[in-house]
Amino acid sequence: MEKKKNKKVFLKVVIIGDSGVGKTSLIHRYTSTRFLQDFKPTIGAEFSNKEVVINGKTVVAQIWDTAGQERYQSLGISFYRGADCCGIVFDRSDHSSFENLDTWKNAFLKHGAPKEEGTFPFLVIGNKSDLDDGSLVKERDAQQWCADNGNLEYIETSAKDNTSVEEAFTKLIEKGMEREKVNLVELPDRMSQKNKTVNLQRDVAKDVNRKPQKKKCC
Amino acid sequence: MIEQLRLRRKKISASSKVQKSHSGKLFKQIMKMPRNKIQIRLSSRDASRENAKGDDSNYVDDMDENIGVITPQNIGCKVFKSKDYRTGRLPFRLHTSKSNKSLNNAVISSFSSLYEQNLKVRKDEETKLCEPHKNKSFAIKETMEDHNSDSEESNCEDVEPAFKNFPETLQLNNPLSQNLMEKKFSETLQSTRLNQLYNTSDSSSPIKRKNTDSSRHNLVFGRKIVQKVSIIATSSHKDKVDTINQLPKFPEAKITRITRECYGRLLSDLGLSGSSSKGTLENSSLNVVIDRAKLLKVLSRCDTSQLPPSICHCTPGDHGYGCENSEEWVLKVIENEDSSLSSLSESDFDEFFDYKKVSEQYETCKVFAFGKVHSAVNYEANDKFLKDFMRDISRTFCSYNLFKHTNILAKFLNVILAIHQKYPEMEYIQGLNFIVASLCLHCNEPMAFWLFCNLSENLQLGYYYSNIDQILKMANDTILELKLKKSKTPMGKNTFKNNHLDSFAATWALSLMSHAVPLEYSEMLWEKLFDSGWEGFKIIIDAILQVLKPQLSKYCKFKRSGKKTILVCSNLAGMTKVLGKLNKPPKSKEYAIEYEVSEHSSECFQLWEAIKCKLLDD
Repeated sequence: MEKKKNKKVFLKVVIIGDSGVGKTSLIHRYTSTRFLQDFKPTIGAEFSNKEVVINGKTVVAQIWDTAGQERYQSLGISFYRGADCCGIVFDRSDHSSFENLDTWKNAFLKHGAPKEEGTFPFLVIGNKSDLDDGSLVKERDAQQWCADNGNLEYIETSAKDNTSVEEAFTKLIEKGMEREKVNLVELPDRMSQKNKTVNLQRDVAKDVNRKPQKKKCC
Repeated sequence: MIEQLRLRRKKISASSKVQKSHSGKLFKQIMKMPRNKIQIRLSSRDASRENAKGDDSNYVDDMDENIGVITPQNIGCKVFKSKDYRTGRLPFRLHTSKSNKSLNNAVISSFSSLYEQNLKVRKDEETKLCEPHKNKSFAIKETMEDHNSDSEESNCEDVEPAFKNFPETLQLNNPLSQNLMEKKFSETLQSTRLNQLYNTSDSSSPIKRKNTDSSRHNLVFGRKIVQKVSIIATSSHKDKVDTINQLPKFPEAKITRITRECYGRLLSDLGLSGSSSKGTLENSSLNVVIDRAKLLKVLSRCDTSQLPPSICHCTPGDHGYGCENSEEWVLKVIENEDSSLSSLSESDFDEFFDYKKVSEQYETCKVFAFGKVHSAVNYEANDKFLKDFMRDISRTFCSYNLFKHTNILAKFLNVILAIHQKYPEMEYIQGLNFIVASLCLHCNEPMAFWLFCNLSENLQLGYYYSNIDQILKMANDTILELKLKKSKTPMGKNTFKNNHLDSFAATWALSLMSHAVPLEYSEMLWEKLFDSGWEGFKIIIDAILQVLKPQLSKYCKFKRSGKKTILVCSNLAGMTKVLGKLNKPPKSKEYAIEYEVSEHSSECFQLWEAIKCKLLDD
């Protein structure tokens, strides 16, 4: 069992954004391919796993659905930590949720404290595209924001109509995988270093110490 | 009166030909309209002018669908004049769900029959057209235009009986068109929910026909309904103007969306709000942030006095304030307050519980709160507590039919407002709504208010809500601590600084688990909480963990240190999946029969049944 598990790649995907923008609906659409009819505010966080094969690799994406209420942000610490990628959702028909993107990104970087602040994989998701009455947040504006914030990628979705939901998550997971690759290369090194390098250093140190000692003794 | 019908269709291809034959002003208007809409506007407001008018535009969609345009000619009406378009706008818009093609067709045919009807009746001077169907796919929308005169407002009271007969306005003179409509609708509206709505509204009151010309009568009703909604939504003419002045803070088109989503519901509420608990909120568009200020006003006018003290399935209490359980909780609170009292029995209830005082206190708080809400038009927008709460009001236990009844929502709102008045410094945290809603189920407003106040003082909820970090600490220190096993972290990340996770217990504590406990089992939660506060909460958490132990033990080890439980986790993904089940909303069981009980729900109910047994055993 363990061997099989090791072959799979685990990814922690965190979805954040204002209250009521449709985070839970998006995730539900992706993991169970249905549109949630009963809308309930998420308390704390909810979790769902989805196994996908991307580029020949089996990925178990653990998708964390977080609470959108501002007051819950200080609880976010434990939810954000260890994330491989992060989707920031806003409601295209609610301009204030778009304006809050900054807050969300900063909060994530602050509480999640990923190692690579500048290059951490974010995906900006504009949800509720189905409510098109001419007043939606324009793609241009969203793209502009993304460009200003470290060339983030942007995608427009609708959980209700199932527009680009799959695409968005696939993109997100791919981004996480890219990051994972870097880490995967690093990880074994680190693991081996922990056992060997430290010893080596000690040896070197000992050698350095011993040699003069020996010399002194002699 | 204008009614806009917004639809997407395939079968009305004939209409596109009609569009081509159009010329002049109509066509120009079509071109001016936003390209992303297809609309029909049918007007009968100005009887001296043309009775009907329409304008239309293409609906351009990402999906490759044929777009059809409906023109007035197509449905047997004359072309309107452009002035009508500018000035004669009336506040309703019907729209059908985009995806329901057959319904759209039914709508079109019913519209055309209505129009034929209308043309006949037009000889009468004040013929007004209304399309009064109530169903899921329709939403009747009021544009924010100020068209109501003060004289119209004075009619408001007269309209009330007509309101109860709202569905009867469907009756038309022409048996053919009526049959056609009914047939089409019964064909298309097959969902049980809609049928139910349809039936209940039909049976709500006996048919009243004052006018011999029932069609005209109905049309007048239609117009009065328009007025009624506008009047109810805004308390006075002046208020309304103020509201409108304040609203454009939103982008203008957003108003139309908000109102479109909201007014369909409000209208159906208002139509039924008189007849006890039959007013329900539509489920179709709860995902949208509704026009909260308006909803607030509507709810504040609901008459909750018709509700029985307890709506739960428990045995009703002897004193008429709530169910038997809630009376027990009251006794427990009193026992805990005064250590000299112990094991109070039911007969002591009246002696120790001063209902009069409680109810007076509650009424004072409520009156103050409502005074605030009414004195400022957009009060809710400036009050963060209310603003946040109103977003959640339609999302509280929304899988339960109960929480779609306007009167129950109003009761819930009343209690929340009173609480907000009593503890102005308490911040709104998602979770509070579930606590209050769950309490409201078991007893009447003053009792629910009193119970909550005591609970909150006992558990220091106000303090914790303002300092979430503290509840996190408290939960970790005393209730449940999650730790990551150091040697083995299958997530493969070493980013956890101190190998402990602090999420679950804290979020559970914020809502006191009330969001996760199905309403059917809520009394066991409250019993423990009123009995022994946080200790009781710990007992419940322990029971849950015991029940989940077989599943959890694959992923983590149980440890006990003092009274708290420590979970040492070796597989975070597995553990979160098991524990996460608790956070998923349960679907309704007893309180909403029409909802399917999904696999998750039955599993959820099994889980809670097991937890209940566990608690009873202990």
